Amino acid sequence: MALLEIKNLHASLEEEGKEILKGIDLVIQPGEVHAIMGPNGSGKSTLSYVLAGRDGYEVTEGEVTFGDKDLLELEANERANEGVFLAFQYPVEIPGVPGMTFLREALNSKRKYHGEEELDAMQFLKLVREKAKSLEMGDDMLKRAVNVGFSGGEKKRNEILQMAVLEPTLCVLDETDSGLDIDALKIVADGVNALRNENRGMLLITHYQRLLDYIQPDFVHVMAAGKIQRSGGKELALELEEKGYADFTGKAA
Amino acid sequence: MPNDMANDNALLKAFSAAAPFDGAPDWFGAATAAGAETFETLGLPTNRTEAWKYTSLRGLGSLSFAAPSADAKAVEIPRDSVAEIQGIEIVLVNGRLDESRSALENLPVGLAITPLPQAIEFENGAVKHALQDEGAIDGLPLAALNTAGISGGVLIEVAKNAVIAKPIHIISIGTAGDEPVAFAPRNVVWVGANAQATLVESHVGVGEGSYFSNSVTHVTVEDEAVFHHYKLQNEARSAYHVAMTHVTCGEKVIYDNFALSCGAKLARNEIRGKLDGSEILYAVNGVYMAAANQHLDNTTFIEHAKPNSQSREIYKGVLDENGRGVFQGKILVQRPAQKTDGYQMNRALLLSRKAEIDSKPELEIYADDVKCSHGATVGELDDDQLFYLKARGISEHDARNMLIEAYLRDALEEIRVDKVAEAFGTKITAWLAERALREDAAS
Repeated sequence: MALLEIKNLHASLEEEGKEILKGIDLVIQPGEVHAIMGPNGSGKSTLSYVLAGRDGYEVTEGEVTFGDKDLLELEANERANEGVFLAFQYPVEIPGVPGMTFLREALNSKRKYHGEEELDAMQFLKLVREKAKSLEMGDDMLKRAVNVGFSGGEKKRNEILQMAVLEPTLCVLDETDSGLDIDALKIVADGVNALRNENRGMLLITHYQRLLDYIQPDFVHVMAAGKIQRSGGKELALELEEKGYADFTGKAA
Repeated sequence: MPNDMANDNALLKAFSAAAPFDGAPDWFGAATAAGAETFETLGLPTNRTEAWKYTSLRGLGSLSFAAPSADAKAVEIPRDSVAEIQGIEIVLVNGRLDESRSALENLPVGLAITPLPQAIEFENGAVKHALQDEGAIDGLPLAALNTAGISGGVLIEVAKNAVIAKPIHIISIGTAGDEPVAFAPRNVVWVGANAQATLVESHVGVGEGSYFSNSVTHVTVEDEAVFHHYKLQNEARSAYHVAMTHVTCGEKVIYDNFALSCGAKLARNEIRGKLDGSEILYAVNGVYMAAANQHLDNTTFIEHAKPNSQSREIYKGVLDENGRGVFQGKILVQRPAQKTDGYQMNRALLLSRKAEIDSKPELEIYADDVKCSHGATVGELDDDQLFYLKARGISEHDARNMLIEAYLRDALEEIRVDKVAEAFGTKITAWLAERALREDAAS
């Protein structure tokens, strides 16, 4: 069974009624890493929000199945608990909520959802330390309020640490490389690579090819004007790097 | 309006009937009479009274109050409602001091606590001044009503240079049977020069009966003293709570006030501060949390009388269901008060379409070299933050609660005494837990 199957997905902005996704088809099998590349305004981020269940988008046509579940029927938190993880392009600052409290609440929500026992503060701390260590990160940032005053790199690392703790089966990384210098990009890419395994699928959404120097995708898709225009192997990314998106948009991007 | 007048008289009677000051000196009788006269002139305020534009006491007029019964004294202290503070406790039941449960003896060196009737009898200067001060009741009908029929209270004196580490904790309990009761506590606090002390007030209720607590507190902080003054208003949901605090600060005083309001059907927390010295740091802050059928009013007045002082004021509110909040803040800067630095802010978070907040910030400035700013914001929970939490598996309900808690707890940063901040924090958590139960019941 496919991990994620998107069929003819159409979605509009609820308020304006403007169609952004115009028929997306995509299948991700367990263990596969897919990259979606495309110019700004192609609908890449909308796809990630629609998959994660953000309010404000209306799916007008098509279906999305996640394992044996109809993903579109689920609330955002249920999707997360089923195993969908969206790494945000701009992780949100939440003043007053300590990172540790937030992540424990998140993990325990998932455990509760699956009928498992919740972890107490000590058990959780131990788990977080192990996960951070396996990613060669500290857990210091969890002592601060969620993302508040974090540098761009810290915010992205925090996303990767959350991913490691929550152990999703599908990771959607929305423009994970934006705002990162090369060192930070490497750290984040190492984290993602460490989390690659045969059961987990990944969807990398990116504008630039450079992330793919560090994370090797199995498939690359070019998205433009709300549709996947072309699919191929990782060599497609190199081709795009050379030619740009002009072939797909009719203008240089 | 003969009807209103009849109500006013009934209220006045209810209070006067409760007064336990037999054999008090003549000046006290005169002060009481002046209070009654001022109240009769002003009457019970309605929306037509400018200072009470958003908070009407009309509902009070329709209640008929009985004098508090003597056996009310036996009520247990409702520890769940009271602030959890290891303090020097003073217990008032329906406005009267319960001496058996109050720490009046063996107090730390430099601290004296005296029942109000005794302090009156001994002609204590601070008490005499407080009760005779026309400024304390002029144009203030409820303070005048209090003066007309004081139920009881205490005089707290902190000697010059004394440092009292343990907080003093006034627990004011209201309790009524089938008939509503009305009472009027009056407390006088005097903090000597260069002294340091902390006062916590817990206003709580026992039982379902309706009561009206109409308190007045006088605080005088002498030069270079530090006084922390915190109040928890956690009255019974059927109660009316009106409290006036008069604060006077001398040179280089640090005064910080924080009020957490979550109880009562209708509550007004009014603080009038006179900054009668230079280099004062004066702070009045608070949090208010209103649920169904609650009306919570914070009204503050800050008078800068001398140059070079600072005042800070930050209130944060959460209004749920048809809860209503009122914030009125006025800063008056007198001509001599150059280099005044004043800041005032009221932030309200509306959790329901039926909730309401009325903010009225006001500046009146006669000096020409001052820095004063004020503002008010009204908002709802942030959609981006909510989605971020939900995208991590946290339910809408839990996510909302987390954000509300963070918003409220942030205000506690203003409290300078950590253990009080912690004790007030548990009240915020309890309020949110109650809110969660209501939501579960509704869904």
